[in-house]
Amino acid sequence: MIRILARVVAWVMLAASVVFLLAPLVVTILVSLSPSPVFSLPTDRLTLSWYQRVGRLDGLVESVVLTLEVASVATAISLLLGTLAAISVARGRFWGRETIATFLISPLMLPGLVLGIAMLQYFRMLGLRAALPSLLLAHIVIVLPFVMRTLTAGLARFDFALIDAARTLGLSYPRAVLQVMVPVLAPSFITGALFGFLASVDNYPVSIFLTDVYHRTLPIQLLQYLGESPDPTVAAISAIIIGLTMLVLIAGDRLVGLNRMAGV
Amino acid sequence: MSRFGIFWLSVPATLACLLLFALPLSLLLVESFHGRDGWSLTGYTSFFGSAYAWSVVLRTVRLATLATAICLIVGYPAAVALAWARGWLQSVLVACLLLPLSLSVIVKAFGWTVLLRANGVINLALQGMGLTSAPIRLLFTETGLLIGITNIFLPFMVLPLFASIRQLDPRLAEAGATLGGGPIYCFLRVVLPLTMPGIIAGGTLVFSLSIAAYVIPTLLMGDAYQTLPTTIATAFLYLQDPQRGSVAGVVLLVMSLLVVVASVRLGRRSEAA
Amino acid sequence: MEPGDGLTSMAEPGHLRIEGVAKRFRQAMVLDDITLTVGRGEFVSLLGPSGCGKTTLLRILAGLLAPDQGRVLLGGQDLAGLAPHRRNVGVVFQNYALFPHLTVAENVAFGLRARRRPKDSIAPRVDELLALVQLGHLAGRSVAQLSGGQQQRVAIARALAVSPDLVLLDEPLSALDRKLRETMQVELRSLLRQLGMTAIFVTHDQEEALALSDRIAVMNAGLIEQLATPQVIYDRPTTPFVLDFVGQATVLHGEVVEEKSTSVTVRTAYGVIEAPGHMLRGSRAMVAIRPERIVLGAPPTPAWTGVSLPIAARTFLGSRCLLHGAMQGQDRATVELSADVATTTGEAIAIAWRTDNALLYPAPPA
Repeated sequence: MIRILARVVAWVMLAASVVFLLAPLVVTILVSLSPSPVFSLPTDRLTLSWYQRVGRLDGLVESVVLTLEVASVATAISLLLGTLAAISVARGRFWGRETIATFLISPLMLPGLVLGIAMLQYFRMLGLRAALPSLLLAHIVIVLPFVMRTLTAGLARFDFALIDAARTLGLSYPRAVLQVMVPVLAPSFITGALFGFLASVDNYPVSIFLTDVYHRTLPIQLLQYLGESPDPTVAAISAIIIGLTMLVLIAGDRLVGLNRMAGV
Repeated sequence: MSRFGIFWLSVPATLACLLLFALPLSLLLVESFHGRDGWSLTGYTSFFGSAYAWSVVLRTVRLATLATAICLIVGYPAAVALAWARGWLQSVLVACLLLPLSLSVIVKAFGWTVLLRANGVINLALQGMGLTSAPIRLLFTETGLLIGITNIFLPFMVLPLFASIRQLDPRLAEAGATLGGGPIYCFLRVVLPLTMPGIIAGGTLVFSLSIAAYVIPTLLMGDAYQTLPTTIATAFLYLQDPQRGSVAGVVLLVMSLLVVVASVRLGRRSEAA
Repeated sequence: MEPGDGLTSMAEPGHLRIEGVAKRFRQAMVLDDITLTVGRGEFVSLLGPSGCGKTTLLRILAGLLAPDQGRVLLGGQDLAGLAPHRRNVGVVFQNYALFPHLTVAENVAFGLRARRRPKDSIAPRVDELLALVQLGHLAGRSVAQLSGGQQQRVAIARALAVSPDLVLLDEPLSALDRKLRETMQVELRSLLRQLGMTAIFVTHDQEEALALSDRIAVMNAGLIEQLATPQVIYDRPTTPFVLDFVGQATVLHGEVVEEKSTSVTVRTAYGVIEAPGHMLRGSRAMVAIRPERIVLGAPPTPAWTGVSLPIAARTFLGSRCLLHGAMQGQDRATVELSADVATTTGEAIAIAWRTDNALLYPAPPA
């Protein structure tokens, strides 16, 4: 009796969770297709007119370009720094390596807003007022922990005897690393880079303190549209973002598999 | 490469993090002790002397606690069911968790502003089912905010739980059953302790993300309702009062660090048990 | 040099020569002056407890570690400073170390591709090796889908595909269950013999070493304690360590009370016995007898000797049974008898053995 009840409860909770989690996404997409200028669900006909207005929005293209620029550069630098550090922490036997690992992952658990104000004051103190370099530096701190976390986990599971095996089978050490370690760890690289990139693209609480009128990242621009002209154009942009995020996840699934991306 | 030589590989990243967030956070700490006339504790005395500041802190903690509790109560059975699911069904369900997790907070928050409006979907549904005659006010209420926070952070609870439940050997529960335990006893004495690492990981994530949430309260509650993060932003962006902002920032930072330390402690104890 | 090159094998009685190899990590001496010569086609086991240095020696042979002293010659060539990929040595790793991102066939082809063998020669060679280990039908599988025994075969096929001059096997059977391990032992041995492969086999399992090897090097604390055929290792262990590590024995401690021309008389707690060899009168001695050398009853002729022991337990083995003595101090007793022999635990029994089947050692300090 209790077992059956438990089963029912578990499945109901899972179904409810999925509906609950997808509800805001579905509603956003529906609103973006609705002809009504106030946010209401489409009743009889659908329209793409709000999507046509997206291209005419002030500053949207610039903010998208800036956001992608910052995210790509920050991800590239984080991959480089994170790979070196993860190898060091996973393979080294020096004192304090766990502390270093925790330290490098810790920004994940710190409130973004506090990081933002701290960086704002720090950059001002250093005389760095330009938005672009500030954003780049700050976003390294946002992306690096994701890369570091997945790579250390991947390296911890990596069997270094594979490199020995490749060497005895005829590969030099560098070639063994390249032909064995890199492909085996590729899922960790991809997962870390992907989530780090998404976190950078989505970041609001750090960026808000470091942007200026000419350099607005996409989330800041979006909030501004919401404040200025709340019409379904924002819903259309949101729907496009939902679509792009789905594409990124599908790509990730093809490359890595969703379960590995979810860290399970 | 020697075992010590490998140490140098971690130097660039460590240096970058020291310069880019450890030093700024230390300066923030220094700033919080820096009043108009040099060093002082006035920032802290006025913050902790203010009933309003206390109410903001308590409100933030209350919201985060409630959100964590709801996520756990909903997320645990959901994670169990997810572990039961097989093949394509499981993949689809994991995708349903990953998509919202990867999606911009602002997009989700926007969705909730539409859902929670007086003429929004939830009210229409409630009225349609005859549960309420007049529309319930949800947007700009704490209930609405709690729904939003729970929605955004639920995947962060379910995924770690799923990971630890999936590692459970199903034979363990059977072994418990053959030893004469009923299902409830088995769950409490075998399954729950073994999935404790997942509960701790998920709980820590949801709680620390919730106390730091900024976008959601701003969008769902507006400026009149303040949580600790919105206080910080207001102090810096509108009031130009860096000391007040720094103090609130340090308080939030300390709370986050306490959560992390507590989770590490709890994690060790559950491993030892 | 190709392995099929008959001239070099004839000219080279010691195909693999390990000369005075030593290795220390920080301060600890892991290998202490190891010298060992292995003939072409010979199967030599390195047998010892964990930490005895056997895996370190294997890694030195593979080129994954450099020795501090000494040198290694393979087919007359000094391997010093030669990186692993420049040696023609195949290795089967303890947990197989199969490449998880490659299929079974790709794993076997790995060494051939790394050596840049002509593309059209690789596929037939892979098929040949997979047929040899009876895995032809699984060529396209991912290695993660294989059972332990199948993974083991892939690892062997991968190591042999490049026709190495020497195969090193690092506890390759330890991850398998007992039944499978016994089957694989037989298969592995006949496969290597069929290919005329020179092999060094690292193991801590004495039964495995006895079953497979042409010769066994019993290692302890960085030294080779004894190097001999399995028969000699079992019958004539030269040190108490080898006696203890390989097989079971009845061991009695006592004092030498009389020296004779070819034997000594030792007074033990269970009786006065004869033992072959020489030791000074008054010194402490240790006498050991293998369980199956012992019979029930009093010594039938003067060439025999015996004692009387209390029996604590009896283990039934099918056709045979083992009696375990209730002994004191460092003494212990194991007697193997036909299962038909009736004994009662708790009772004392008389046992006897041929004096020249016993082994005499100076008693190690307690």
